[in-house]
Amino acid sequence: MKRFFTYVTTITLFMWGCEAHLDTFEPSAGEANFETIVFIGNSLTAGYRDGTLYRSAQYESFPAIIHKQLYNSGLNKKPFKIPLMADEAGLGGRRILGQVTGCDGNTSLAPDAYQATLNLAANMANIYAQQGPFNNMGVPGVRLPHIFAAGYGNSALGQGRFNPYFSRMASNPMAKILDDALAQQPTFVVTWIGNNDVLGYALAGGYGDTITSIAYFNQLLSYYVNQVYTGNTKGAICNIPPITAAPFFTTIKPNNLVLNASQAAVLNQAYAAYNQEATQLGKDSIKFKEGANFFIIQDTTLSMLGGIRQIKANELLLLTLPQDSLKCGGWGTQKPIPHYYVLDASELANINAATTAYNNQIASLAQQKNLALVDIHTLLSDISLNGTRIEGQTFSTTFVTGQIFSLDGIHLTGKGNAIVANYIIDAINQKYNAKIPKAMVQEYSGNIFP
Amino acid sequence: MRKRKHFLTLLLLAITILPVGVNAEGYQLNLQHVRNTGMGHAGAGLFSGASSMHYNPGALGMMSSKMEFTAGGSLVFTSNVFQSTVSDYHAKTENPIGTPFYVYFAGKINDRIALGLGVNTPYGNTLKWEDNWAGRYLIEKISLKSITLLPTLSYKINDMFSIGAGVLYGINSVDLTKALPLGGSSGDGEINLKGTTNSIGFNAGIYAQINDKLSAGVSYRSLQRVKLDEGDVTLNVPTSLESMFPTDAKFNAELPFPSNLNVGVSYKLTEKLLLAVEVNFVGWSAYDSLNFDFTPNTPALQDSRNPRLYENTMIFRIGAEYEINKEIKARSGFYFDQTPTQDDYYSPETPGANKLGFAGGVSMNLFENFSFDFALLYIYSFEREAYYTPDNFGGKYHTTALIPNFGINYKF
Repeated sequence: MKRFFTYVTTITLFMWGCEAHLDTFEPSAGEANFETIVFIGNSLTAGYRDGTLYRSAQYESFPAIIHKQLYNSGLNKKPFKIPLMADEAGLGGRRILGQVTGCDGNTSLAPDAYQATLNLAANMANIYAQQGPFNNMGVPGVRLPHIFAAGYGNSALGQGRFNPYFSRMASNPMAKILDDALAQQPTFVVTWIGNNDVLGYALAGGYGDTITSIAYFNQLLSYYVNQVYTGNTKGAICNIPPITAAPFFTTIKPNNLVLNASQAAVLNQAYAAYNQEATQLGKDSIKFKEGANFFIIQDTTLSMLGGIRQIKANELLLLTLPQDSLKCGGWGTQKPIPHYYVLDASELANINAATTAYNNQIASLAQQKNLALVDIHTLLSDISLNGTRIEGQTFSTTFVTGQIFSLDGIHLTGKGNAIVANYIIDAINQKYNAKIPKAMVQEYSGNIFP
Repeated sequence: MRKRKHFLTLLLLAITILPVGVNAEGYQLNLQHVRNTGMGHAGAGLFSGASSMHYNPGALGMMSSKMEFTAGGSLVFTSNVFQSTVSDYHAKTENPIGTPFYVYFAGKINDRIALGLGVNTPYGNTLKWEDNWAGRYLIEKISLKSITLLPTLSYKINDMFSIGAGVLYGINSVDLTKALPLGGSSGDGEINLKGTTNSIGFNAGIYAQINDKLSAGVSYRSLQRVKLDEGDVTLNVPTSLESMFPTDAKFNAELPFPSNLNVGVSYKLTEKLLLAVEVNFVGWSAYDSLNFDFTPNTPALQDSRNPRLYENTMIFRIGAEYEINKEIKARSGFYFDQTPTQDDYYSPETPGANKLGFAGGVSMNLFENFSFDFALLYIYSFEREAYYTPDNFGGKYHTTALIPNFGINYKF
């Protein structure tokens, strides 16, 4: 019997020794210290997605993903504190994929309103005392100047005059975002700010909003990095992506107007008088043909031509442009598309100039403060041109199916956040000679098909 | 004491000669007779009885008995692991036990002509990665099976030379599943491809019994391009996307079974000790890509082209057989098997690597004319860091296999 056991043990040991095995990944913090990590930024940092900030999306924000990689590998030992929303609807406006029937009676798969009763009281109540301070200091809507604004979340100022997202997470009504972040004495800070300083203007179609001046931005950001990255605090700073590459600006193509021959003939007839006038003034005439055509848009600079013209191939239409007005309201054909749904060539030039200048300042300050520079601009430019394939899945900047951008066309999906998180991890690993394990993109959710 | 000495001899044989080169793996199986397996799968330059119809049909003409029957099978326990190089992610397979088998029956018509009929399983791949693993959009599980019939004719030209040839008729099936990155409320989508098809090829060889001690042989197994038509496609996608896919899709695909050119020599070192060495040249370059041609196509279901870009390989084998006494023979073998897979086109459906095979076996004459064979083969693959660049997926892989083999032989 003893002999039998000896045999069994020997065989078992042999079989165990035969099992395939590989050395596990060995993480390292390198020259960085991830003991207390804080993320400062806007809606992208907060995990805003599908048109609002909601609880399950917050768990898939890039800060939450990076923290998970640090925590699971033992490089950070503290739980990650997120100013979690009370539910899945947040302050409202969430979109979800569904079958949407348009004014023309056609039903198609498209973003639709998320059906839920809003609990505004719970979602606006301050949670700092119970849950703060917060490692994720991403506040939706924040522009660079707001980071330093006392009372930015002060609800006593009345609706529309305070940021409800900061209100619920602020340490006190007069708190500043920067102070609440630095009070935690972070050892490592990841910054991604400045997007809204130019994005706000773009989302408004260049109307009723302004771009933060380059000089002011440069001055404030310089002040910011000197405040945050002092002493032993290290970190990473992300630059501004090519914002008009987001599907919010690329989904409705300028020439999405499809006409048959007789529709084109009727419209050409209707614009005959316009064209006569335009020729005399040396302006472009309006032409329609069978197939794809450029929409008619409002252009306030052309008052002598009734303030309208045809959109050009390099100009953009916003995703918020009401589809029913296009399909059934005569928008883009008989009526011009209002200019606040259009980014024309000069508005795009303003956006690009600001983005370039901001990014130059970000790069120069990153170098000055010896930070990891995360070149999100290059990442998203490359993806918008060629797409990318990760772990057997193709990603692109195409709306819904590209799976990087969520249903609002501006903010990222969980997978998009994981791609950004990995890019930040790459930059940190390189800068600080660290070995943070990267996230598996597929473990996070994309846009969910019903 | 004496026994220990024999054992040491065999062990030394197995470990001292470490040829450097390449080896044949992919989805080819070499477990076609327990005796040969025990000798590191050597068989081209060796008269090995009825199983010669697989290893070298030329040698079958040298049969001395009138009839010979042999049958056997193996239990293949494989384990594969994956470790990301940039993440702490790792995964392993939950492979079912593979069961290759063989039956060979050979008889002499007269002094010069021998006929044989065999059934074996020279190609196959059974792999199942753990549920939800990171490479699931490339492969979740695959079962490739081939049962080959090999009617063989061999002619003994004279006491020195014998030639032979046979037909290879394959009955083949494939069953492959992978996940689709179409996130629905219940997770990923999935596609399953399943089909059966037949294939035909040939096997030929020449064998020389140069003297009492030395024999040599060359055999060639032809390339078979296995075409599968009208295989079944089963799709599982979110409801809202169903209309984008055809309801009753079929697929065509082609997979090559590579050619094998085998050159072997065997030598009786002493009355009791037989040595065999062999080189196999495997024509894996025939496996350029794995393409699925779907009908009907829709924008969501396009034909799929997947480069594999296999390269030709070589396998070096050495085997020994030692006659302990009239009843018992002990065997040992070793081989080095080169992988046909490239570092940039490395698919986890066939996680290849350069491999070492260590074999040991015994054969016992239980009754007159009846013997029982056992062999144990352990395959160790070298750790591999490789990527499937078209899908941007990869990392480190490691594979091992433990294969007990059992067989019987009967001659009269």
